[in-house]
Amino acid sequence: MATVIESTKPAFRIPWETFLGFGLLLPSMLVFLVFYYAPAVFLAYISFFHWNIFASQSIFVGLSNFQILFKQPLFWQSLLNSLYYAAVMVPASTMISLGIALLLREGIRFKRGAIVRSMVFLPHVTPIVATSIIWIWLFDPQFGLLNAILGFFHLPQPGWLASTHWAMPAVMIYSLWHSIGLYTVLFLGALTTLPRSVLEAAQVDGAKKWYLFKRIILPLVSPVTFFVIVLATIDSLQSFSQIYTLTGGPHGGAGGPAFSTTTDSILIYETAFIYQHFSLASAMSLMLFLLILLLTLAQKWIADRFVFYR
Amino acid sequence: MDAVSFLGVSKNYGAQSVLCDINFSVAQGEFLVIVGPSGCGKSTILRMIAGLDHPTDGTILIGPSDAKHLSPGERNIGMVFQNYALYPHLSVYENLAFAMKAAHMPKARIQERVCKVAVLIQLQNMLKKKPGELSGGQKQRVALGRALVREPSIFLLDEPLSNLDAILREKMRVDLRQIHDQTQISTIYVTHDQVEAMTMADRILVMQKGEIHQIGTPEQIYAQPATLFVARFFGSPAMNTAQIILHQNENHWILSSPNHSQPISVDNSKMFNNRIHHEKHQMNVWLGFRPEAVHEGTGLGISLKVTVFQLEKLGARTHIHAKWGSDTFVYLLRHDDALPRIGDDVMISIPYCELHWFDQAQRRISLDRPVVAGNFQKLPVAVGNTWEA
Repeated sequence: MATVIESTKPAFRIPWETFLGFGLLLPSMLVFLVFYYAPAVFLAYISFFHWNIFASQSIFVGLSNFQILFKQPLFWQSLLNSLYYAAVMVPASTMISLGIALLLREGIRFKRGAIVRSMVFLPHVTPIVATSIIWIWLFDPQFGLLNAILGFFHLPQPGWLASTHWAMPAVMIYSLWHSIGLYTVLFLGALTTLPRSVLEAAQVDGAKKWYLFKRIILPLVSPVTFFVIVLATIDSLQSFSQIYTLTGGPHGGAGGPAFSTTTDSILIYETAFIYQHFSLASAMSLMLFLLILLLTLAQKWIADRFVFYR
Repeated sequence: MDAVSFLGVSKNYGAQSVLCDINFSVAQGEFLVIVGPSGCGKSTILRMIAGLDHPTDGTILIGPSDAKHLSPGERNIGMVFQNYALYPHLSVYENLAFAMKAAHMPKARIQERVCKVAVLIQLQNMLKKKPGELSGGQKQRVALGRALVREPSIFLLDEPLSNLDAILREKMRVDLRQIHDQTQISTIYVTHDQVEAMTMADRILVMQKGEIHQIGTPEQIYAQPATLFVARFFGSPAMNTAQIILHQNENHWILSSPNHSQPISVDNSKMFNNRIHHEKHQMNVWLGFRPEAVHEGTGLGISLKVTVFQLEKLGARTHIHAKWGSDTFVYLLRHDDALPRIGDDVMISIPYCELHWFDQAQRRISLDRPVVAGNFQKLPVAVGNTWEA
């Protein structure tokens, strides 16, 4: 009987909608292919060469780029800087944005809530380079607003961007200011979709605020928390513009005093575009990619155990 | 001492009034059902008892204390939500234990209580499952168990059976009433289903548009509805109602309808004699009678000639839909009675004692006493209730 039904349909005929669908997808697929995947593959390719812009003069050198890399103390320091930056940025931005989202959610019923929400999101849509230049002035040890405030309270006034210890924290402060808006909006979205009756049931069950947060709200927003953590990890390991602009990029020597803010991405940029060593930079990029991949997989592994999907 | 009392409670959302001057109380161990159409404010009452909403005006007493100063957790209330509101990320055991863990009760005691309740709700084998793996009826029972396990002094149920199928609903109705009889916890049960109200309640509170229409036992509500709304809301099929004009003609009364040309003489002077005051020769009233009070043929009481236009055969009985002018009436015949055919003119009669009268404002009037126009009691006119203003 089944054959009778099948025979009414010609075999292997692809409906024209399929062609139409792929046809409509083609422009965006081409953009991705040309500007995203092809360069990525090409990058992996040139990391095995002593690359010259005149491609015919490039020499295949196998893994020696990686050998050079691993013997470079600066490479290891840049990795450490990157990890330091991520280790502070990821938990800080996740916790602060969740906190702000909880506060805003309480105030969501007020008419001015919308204004506050857009004010929190606003920094995220500003251009990084432009606001970084403004923050250079805020961080200025002598004339900056930040040290003026600290001085008013008789607190120590660090040198910020000019100090080997404080350059990185300064960059972190700016990055938090810039990135928290996005995460806050993501958390707010998750909080507003929480089933109201479940929260009310917990209230009737006598859950106080902290217990309610710990046992009900946190588990229920955990998918978004996971998403934010992954996003923040990738974002912080790839951070470039603000570090470049804040720590001397416009004057030619990005990376802070004594390489204190030379993260992996800064080192890659300098190796490639200042020292013109493209293949070495490609090898570093590949290592950064592997690092991010490993971290994300580890996070996924953890998330599968702790994230609750409704 | 009453378990819960509402003293002049009102609730407004902005300019919109949801509840208006609500007064009632629930006795210890009583099963009160609040019933009314959706949007009448019955859930708001429940939420105010739970402390999830707050009255704009008036006082709510929970036991002896003013509820204003009690947080939801301090009111010792067990609440079952319409959509169950189980904690989706916790197992059944953790759902049941949640309130006691929040109160830092020792683990052994939590376990003992959870196991006891699990037996009561017949979910001993499901304790490790997550709510997502349960059926609707099982979720319902977990929600019930979660409310019971705290051994609350008040038990609140917000349309708990409306998401269940018909068979399960009937079973749960019996189970719920049984649990109440075992535990003797004061229970307030909100529903829009008059059958649930009639079958489960010690007392019923009927609401519409934020006002209480009547509070009384199921028998009182059925036999002496305080308003036309209550009369139509209870009973299936619903009470027949018609607008009637009563004329006084010499010594007897004539009953006619704006929807009907043919007047009907009311022979019975017993009924109206001296009972409608004499200065008034005409009265507009609502007449109501229950389908089950109708007899075929002429007999004692009012007799009407109606035209049958539809028959609904339900096996044991048949619902006969008939027209009287442009009013439609329903009455019942047993399956072994001779059925009329569609289009037949049939005489029906209703005994005087089965007639319900309502004034133009749709409030019950008792024709035992003279009625003076414009001098009605303020709503609620609660007939035979134990409530005191």
